[in-house]
Amino acid sequence: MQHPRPRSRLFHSIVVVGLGTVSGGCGGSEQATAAGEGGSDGGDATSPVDAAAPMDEASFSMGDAAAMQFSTDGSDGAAPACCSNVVSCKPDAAGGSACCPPDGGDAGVTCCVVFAYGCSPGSSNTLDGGEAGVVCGCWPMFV
Amino acid sequence: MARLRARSVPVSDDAIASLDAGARLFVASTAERRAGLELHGAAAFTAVTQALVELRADSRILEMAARSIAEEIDHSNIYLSLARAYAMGDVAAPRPSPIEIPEYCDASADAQRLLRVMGMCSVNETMACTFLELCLRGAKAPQVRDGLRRVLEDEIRHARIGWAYLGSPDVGPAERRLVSAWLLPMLRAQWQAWREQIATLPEGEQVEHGCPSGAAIERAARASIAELVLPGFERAGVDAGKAWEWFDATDAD
Repeated sequence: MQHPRPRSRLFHSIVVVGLGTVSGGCGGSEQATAAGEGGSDGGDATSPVDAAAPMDEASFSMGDAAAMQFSTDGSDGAAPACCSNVVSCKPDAAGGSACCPPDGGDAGVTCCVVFAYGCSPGSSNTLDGGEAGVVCGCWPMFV
Repeated sequence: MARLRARSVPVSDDAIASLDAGARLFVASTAERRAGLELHGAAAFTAVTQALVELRADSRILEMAARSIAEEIDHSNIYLSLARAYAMGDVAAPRPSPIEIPEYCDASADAQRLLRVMGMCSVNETMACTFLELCLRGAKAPQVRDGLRRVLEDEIRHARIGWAYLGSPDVGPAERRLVSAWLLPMLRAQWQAWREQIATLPEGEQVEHGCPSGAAIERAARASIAELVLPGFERAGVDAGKAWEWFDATDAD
């Protein structure tokens, strides 16, 4: 599928300016270009997209992404490695995630989201048999 | 650039007085809900700030993150003020509470830190900006517009934190490969959470008062992935191919 090329002012203000903040790339000059283009939010003189002013190193090691396999339990009573807060969860009747409520398991399951993208086929957490990791939890939303 | 701003909004507005009681209650309860959620945002930025400290991030990025904690509390106050204005009476102020921070299974400690910054800022806050832009686009009530403008202005900076770190010299090919590998599960988890939260919204809308329908919010959230989040990661050199495949296969309805 051909994806649209982003050209929105919001893209510019968030991504372009953001990426240039520390790298010294296009952030500063791009911000100057954006300012004064007028509002896009209903006619106010200064859009918050423009008003969000621009903000005025270390190396670290991390595991090889390819090695990020999720070790599943697939059995009752053992919490998946990602869910330290899961207490005695069980695979649900449909064979779905063991730690996503409603899971039909025991009490104490508080993971709000578990996406098993990387579990072994046939395990209690398998959705797709894919390769990369499992995200347990979600960031708070404001809607 | 220390900024101390009075973040309350005026308490009387003809646009509010013109609403019937049911509509006022709808807007008041929506604003009250958002006041509580913004405190969760403050808690989230506490974790993001800690992650950036541990990553030894550029101090300019760290400052933005640290400031975000207080700004999210400001947002809560803005929404609380709106809730009280529309309720035409007192509304109890929300109290902060701990939140559950996402974990990225089997990722190293530094990978967890990087992914927290990406997940909260480059994904979640970027999506929040589209939501706020939607709210602001339809809003006519002056108090609401004023409040939303101030929140959006801050949230744009909050979203930039993730992109700023991604564009910093601290992020090299290994880190980009890591983000590439985690982009799909990270995005899918957050998208699912957005949909679940949208599903908890009450029926109805008060567009002119900053409360679009759940369906409109979901469309905006989806558009934010297509027009901001995924193109942003691609611009930063992250492979978004699998995430695009997932997105294209996801039902837009």
